[in-house]
Amino acid sequence: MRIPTYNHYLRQSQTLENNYSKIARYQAQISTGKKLLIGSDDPILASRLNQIETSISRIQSYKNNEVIASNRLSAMQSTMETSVGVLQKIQELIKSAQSDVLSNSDRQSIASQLSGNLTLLLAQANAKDSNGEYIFSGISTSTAPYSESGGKYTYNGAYENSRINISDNMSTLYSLVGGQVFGGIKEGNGLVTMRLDSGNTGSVQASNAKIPDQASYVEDTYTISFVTNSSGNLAYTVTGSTSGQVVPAPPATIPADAPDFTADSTISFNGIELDMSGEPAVGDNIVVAPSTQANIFDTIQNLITLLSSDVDTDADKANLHQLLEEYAGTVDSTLDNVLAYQTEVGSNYANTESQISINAQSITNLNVMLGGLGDADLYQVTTALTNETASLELTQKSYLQVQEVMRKLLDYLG
Amino acid sequence: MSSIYNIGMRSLLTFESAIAITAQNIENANVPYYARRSINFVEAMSNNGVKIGDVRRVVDDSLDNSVIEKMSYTGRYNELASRLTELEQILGDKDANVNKFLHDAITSLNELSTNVSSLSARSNFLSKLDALARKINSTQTDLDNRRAETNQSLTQQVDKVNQLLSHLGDINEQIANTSGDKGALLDQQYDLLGQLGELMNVSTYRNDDGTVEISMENGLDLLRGSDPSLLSTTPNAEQPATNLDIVVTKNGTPMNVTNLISSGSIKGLMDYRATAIDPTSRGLSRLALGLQDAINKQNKLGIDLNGDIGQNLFSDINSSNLINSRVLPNLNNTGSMSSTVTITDTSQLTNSDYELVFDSSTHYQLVKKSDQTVISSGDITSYPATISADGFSMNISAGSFTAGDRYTISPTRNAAHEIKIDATDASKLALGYPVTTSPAAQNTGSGIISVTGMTDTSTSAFSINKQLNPPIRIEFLSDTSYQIVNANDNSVMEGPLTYDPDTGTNVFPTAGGYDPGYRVNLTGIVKSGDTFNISYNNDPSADNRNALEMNKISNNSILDNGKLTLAEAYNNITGNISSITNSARTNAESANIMLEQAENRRAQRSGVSISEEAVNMAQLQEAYAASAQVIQTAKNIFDILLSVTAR
Repeated sequence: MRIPTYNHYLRQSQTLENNYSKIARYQAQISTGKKLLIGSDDPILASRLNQIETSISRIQSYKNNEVIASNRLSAMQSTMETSVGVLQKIQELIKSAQSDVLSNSDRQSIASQLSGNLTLLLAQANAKDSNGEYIFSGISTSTAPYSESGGKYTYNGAYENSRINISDNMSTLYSLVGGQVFGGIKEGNGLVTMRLDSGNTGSVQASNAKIPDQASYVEDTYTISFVTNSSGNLAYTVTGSTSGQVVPAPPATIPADAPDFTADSTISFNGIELDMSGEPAVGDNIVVAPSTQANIFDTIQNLITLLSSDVDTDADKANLHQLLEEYAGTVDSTLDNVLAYQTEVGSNYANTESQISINAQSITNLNVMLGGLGDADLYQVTTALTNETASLELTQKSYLQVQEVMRKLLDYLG
Repeated sequence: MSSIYNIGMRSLLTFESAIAITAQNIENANVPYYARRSINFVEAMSNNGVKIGDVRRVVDDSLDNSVIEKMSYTGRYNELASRLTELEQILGDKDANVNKFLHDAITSLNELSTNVSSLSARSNFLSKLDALARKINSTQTDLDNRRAETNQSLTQQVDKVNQLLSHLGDINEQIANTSGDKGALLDQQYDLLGQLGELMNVSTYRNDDGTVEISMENGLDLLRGSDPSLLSTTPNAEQPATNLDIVVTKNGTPMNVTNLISSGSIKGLMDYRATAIDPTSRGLSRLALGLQDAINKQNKLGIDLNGDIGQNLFSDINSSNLINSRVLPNLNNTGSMSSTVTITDTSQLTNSDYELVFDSSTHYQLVKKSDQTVISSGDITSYPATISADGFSMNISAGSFTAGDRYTISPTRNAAHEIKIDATDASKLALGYPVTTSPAAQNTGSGIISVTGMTDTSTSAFSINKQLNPPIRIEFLSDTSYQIVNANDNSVMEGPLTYDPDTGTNVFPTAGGYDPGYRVNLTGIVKSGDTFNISYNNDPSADNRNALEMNKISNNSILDNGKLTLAEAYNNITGNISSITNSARTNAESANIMLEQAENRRAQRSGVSISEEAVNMAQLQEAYAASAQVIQTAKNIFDILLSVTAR
């Protein structure tokens, strides 16, 4: 076979060029550690790697939020823990104030302790995070949640809480509505409040209000009045502000037909049951009204006012116990409420922490996947490089040998 | 006696010529287009000596043609692969491409959502959006520059084709006029045909006298004899501003031959334009439209730091510049039309252009160019007329049409050029919701009210600056029924409506059809007499609710009918470039191998082998020496004869 000289050299130089370019490629793979130098090396793998990198960068875009959410939630948690402690302390103080052996000055000192606790609790509700944003004013994080004016406390924040994202699919609490954590609490036992008329002279009081059957309950503000009936006995009547005369049932007349009052009995009307205690005097009134919403700060302020006033008469004592029962109920409800929010914050915190570790784990997994798919197999590449270098040497050697043969031929002919 | 001299002299001269030809072969061994010459010795009839019968250029036309044909393959794919490789590096650079800027903007928005009252965090996000828009602009500029380079190369290569055709014509003339050795001319002709093949595929026919005729695939003559038909570039009828076509002018009549070129580097350039520049530009513009539309819409649903309803952050996707640039009349149209194209839904936009084709003076067909399907057809008889498809709407205000008129509709045109940030003030970022709700303080129930979303701020509810029109109070008439009250004048707007405390309720749109453009949810136990207030948000500084919604844009599949996120859309663009680069490179490699094989086959036949020539040379030297010896012998014989006769 004829070996055309030009093509022979051309092919040889092309072979060398191929060798060199392969070697350059292996060297680039070794120095970058990557299988692909550019997407077109393997478009399918490249698009897979692109997807993985996009996922990683999406998760990484929440890095800052993770830290902020975690800090915020732990600040919220510790604030709520302190609030729970303060409320428990207030519960104890109310319990001790209920004791009959206390003097006016004893109660005064409880009142001043309560006053300290009020300040402490208010400071919790108005707590700020490290950015100076209020935690308990919902989305209005720059507005102080509670303010006081003339002994009354008002919630000024928003009624919608704010959230932030810590992954594409998960958001976490970023602020709470203070008006719902520390306020919006039904007074007393949550059903009705019972208040003694300030003009009462007897020691009657009511407690343990129940509504055994919601269906027969008629919501209204009722006044229980003590009268003398036609039999000359101590009797009671119940009148509703919209229901009108309830006991005795119309068309019976007041006070002639009013039922006799039995001491320490349970009276019931329009679905409500009340336990009565103490001794009413004719002319005494008890107002039974549906519970309305209170905030804990107003309640504590009322408590302080109550305990600061002197208790001299039986009627004063009855009023004290009547109101202490109600306030204790309000504080209990508030504590339950705060505990419920504390649980919510706690579970948000736990979820956030676990999402943070899921994020970190996802990044690790994706990076492992990225490495597995995209990293050059250095052992393989090094071996290939060695082979290619060897083949390059052989090509060069054979090239020289052919030249040598040619020279010999010419020598021979010459 | 004299015949011995004659035989000796003739062979001496014959072998001297043969040696000269062998030397010519050896000298030209490294000229790629040189075809070796072989010598045919014949017996000289006059004196039974030797003479050179003929000197042949050893060629095989089919082998030559095969090389020329393969050169047009390598021409096409090498051109395409080298341009794509460069483009891929620009678009794919992970540290500086559009996706990197998109990611920066998303991260910045995430951070901002934790601190929306901070002006510096707001400015940071706005500047990231600005950088993203500029990156999209500059990427488009890169593409445009490449398109311009491609057009420039196309023009240069067409000039080169013309030079080659003229040169081949000259050679045809010389060949026709030469009676002697045409070898050198034929070598040169072969070289020029190869260069021509590299630029574009042609058919060649060789006449007996050695001249060639060159034509295009369909038989259109480019060269016959010495006069070539020259090529030139002309604006493409559909895209006159951006794309060039190729025409051949014959007898003063231009004929468009763009589609007849199926190979060669000119085809490579057109491939590059059609498969890389055009779709990438459309894809990038679609991404820009999706981004700017989604961000604009979301910002308009929010409330800014000053308490105003948000405005566009980006320029409008339907700016007058854009809506006017989306329709291009075909250069060959005889009718006229004034029309605009408005984008109605960015999520439905495709990556294709469209063509509006008139087959009568009123009847049109709208053809989607990517798959040549007719997506709608109808008659235009009155104005204004509207044609809608795939997320855009064409509004024709006037026109007169002739059958055959064509309009290219490109809904994505120029969008990547035009996208820019309009808002200069970071306080204009509308990151809160314009509506807040609250339960009344005296409520006895535990019902909770909240805004669950915003749908529209162009409703009458937002027609008064910084107020709801009207602010609303929801009043519970019983535990399970409520009415909606205008809080300004206490008039009942609607009710009673039923409420189920177990499931809660979405208040809007109401049963009566009132939709103020926001969504409010009520849940929990509600008591008769409870009220809930819905009012304008007068404290938006720390409200991040709309920021969270804005953040969802990056994660939602807002393009291609819910199939692609913004980042995926860009990955698709680069992925497409990677895969066509890969196949162009593979095609280039196999074309190179085929060319190599064709060249090897031709070289087997026509190439010079130095060793062969060296052996020939040695052989001829021997023959020359022997011929000289013949003369010497004849001389000796003569001398002897003389000496004998002289005695």
